[in-house]
Amino acid sequence: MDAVWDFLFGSPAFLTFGLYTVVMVAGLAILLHLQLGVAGIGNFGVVGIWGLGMYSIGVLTVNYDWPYLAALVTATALAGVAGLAVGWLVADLAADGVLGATLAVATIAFLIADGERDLTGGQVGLGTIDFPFDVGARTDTVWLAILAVVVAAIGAYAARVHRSPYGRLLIAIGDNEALARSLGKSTFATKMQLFAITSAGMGLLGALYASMSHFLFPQHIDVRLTVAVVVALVLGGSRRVAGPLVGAVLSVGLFDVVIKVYVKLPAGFVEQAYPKVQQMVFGALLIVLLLFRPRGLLGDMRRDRRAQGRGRWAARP
Amino acid sequence: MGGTSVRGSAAVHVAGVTKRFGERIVVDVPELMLGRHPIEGLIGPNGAGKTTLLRLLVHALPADTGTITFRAAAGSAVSVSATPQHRLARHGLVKTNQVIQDFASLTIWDSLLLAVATRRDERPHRLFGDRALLREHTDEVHTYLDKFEFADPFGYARSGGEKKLLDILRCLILQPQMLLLDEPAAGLPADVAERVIELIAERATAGMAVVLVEHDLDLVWQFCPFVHFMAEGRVLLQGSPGDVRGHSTVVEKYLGARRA
Repeated sequence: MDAVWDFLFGSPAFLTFGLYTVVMVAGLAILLHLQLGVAGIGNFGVVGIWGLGMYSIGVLTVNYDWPYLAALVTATALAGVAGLAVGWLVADLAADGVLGATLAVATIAFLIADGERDLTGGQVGLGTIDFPFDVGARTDTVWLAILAVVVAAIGAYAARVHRSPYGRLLIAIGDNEALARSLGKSTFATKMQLFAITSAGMGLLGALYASMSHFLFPQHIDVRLTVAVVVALVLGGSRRVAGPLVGAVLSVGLFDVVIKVYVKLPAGFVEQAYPKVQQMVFGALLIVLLLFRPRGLLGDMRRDRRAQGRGRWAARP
Repeated sequence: MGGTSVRGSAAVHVAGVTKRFGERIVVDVPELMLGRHPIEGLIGPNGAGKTTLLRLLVHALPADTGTITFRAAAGSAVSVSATPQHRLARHGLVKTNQVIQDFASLTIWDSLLLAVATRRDERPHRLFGDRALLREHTDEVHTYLDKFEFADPFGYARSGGEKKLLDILRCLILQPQMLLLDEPAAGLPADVAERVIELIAERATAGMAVVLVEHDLDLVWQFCPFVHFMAEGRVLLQGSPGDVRGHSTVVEKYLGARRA
């Protein structure tokens, strides 16, 4: 019996942390889905906005002794404002310009975290950021549950967007912005709102991660998280809400939970080579997906299969 | 010319407007008034600048010089160059597209609902906004879907003809004060084109100002009581269909070439 228990929950710390990563990546990928899959705006800067949320709560609680909740709200709001600024900068750029500019945002975030030592501690790290409550050994499990609730809420919001006039407008902008404008739609304002909201969500996920990580280092804001989010989104399918969820489970879930927890790997390998192997596999996977299944496992969004309006039509004489 | 039309419906006044692409002057219109008749035709050979002029009028393109003023039926004048295209559309000045434009991921039904939705409906927190939108506009959308036979109104527009028709219907459902039509008949089956023009004529009688750019001249002669003739960026001639079609300049620059 003990052997089975050990096999299933052999290293609870690994398991909780792995699951936490899966759920967080899913949340970020759902938000990126709204930007890229729905409104057609690419964003390689996810980790930058996420990092801003993470460091904001760290700086406010550690350096300035802010109460946790106030710092959490402020970090989320700061990420939203930063997203607004990024959205404003990239609003009129072509698709490749948007990718370049947002990648620069991620790089700037890293450089600030690395260079502004008075604020962030630089390579020494910033900490400790504790959980805002303590229920003993299971505190991190409770934290995982809270994250799951937040991500579920983000998913529910995204699903509702698909069924609202707002979502219809976002899709229209992604398809043909000039045509949407010609129909009286303020596409600029709509894109700004989208960036502010989704960036605030990314910042919130970053702020929540700070407690899970306890110590913050600039290396948290490197390209690996962006790649994980993009792989999750593209693998599952960027055009559907469930896509990022499926993708996150199949990509990050496989590497950070299944293999790390249940496969007996040599200790040195896990520390050194494993993350690099994961990056290589993710890179190769991205290439294969874009070549053979660019719409991901779940495929394209199919608004023609929805029941809306059809009933009345069918009931006609 | 104060900018108001005789009929009291919407009008556009153009003064000293030019547009050049590189070295080429594409539009050069010192003075033009549109909207004094329910439906006005705008004809001329290919490359005359008709489409560019329409794009200038709705501020899809900025003019290099001159002023364009849109006066809504209510009387308030709007400077086109100082007003973004989407706001002009909300004031009631709308244009259909010559080249097919569509939202590939939206169904026909979606596309019409998109057009009728207001800014209020489209706020990001109105997650259940479709309920109110459907309550208010389902019947209206269905009147358009009933009038024209789409293969599947709840599917995507498939043929070029369906997309072209949808482009026009999206503009009509906006209930514009002035509608600029850029070759509505091109790409539509003849019977559909006729029904579209009839619907537009009906709306024109009800007060909507219409400018019709069209190469199918039979439609122009039939539906337009007033015609502007454009060539080489300039409006060379204006008048009744009878006057315009008989004029030697028109025959030489346009009709003659078409017959040849």
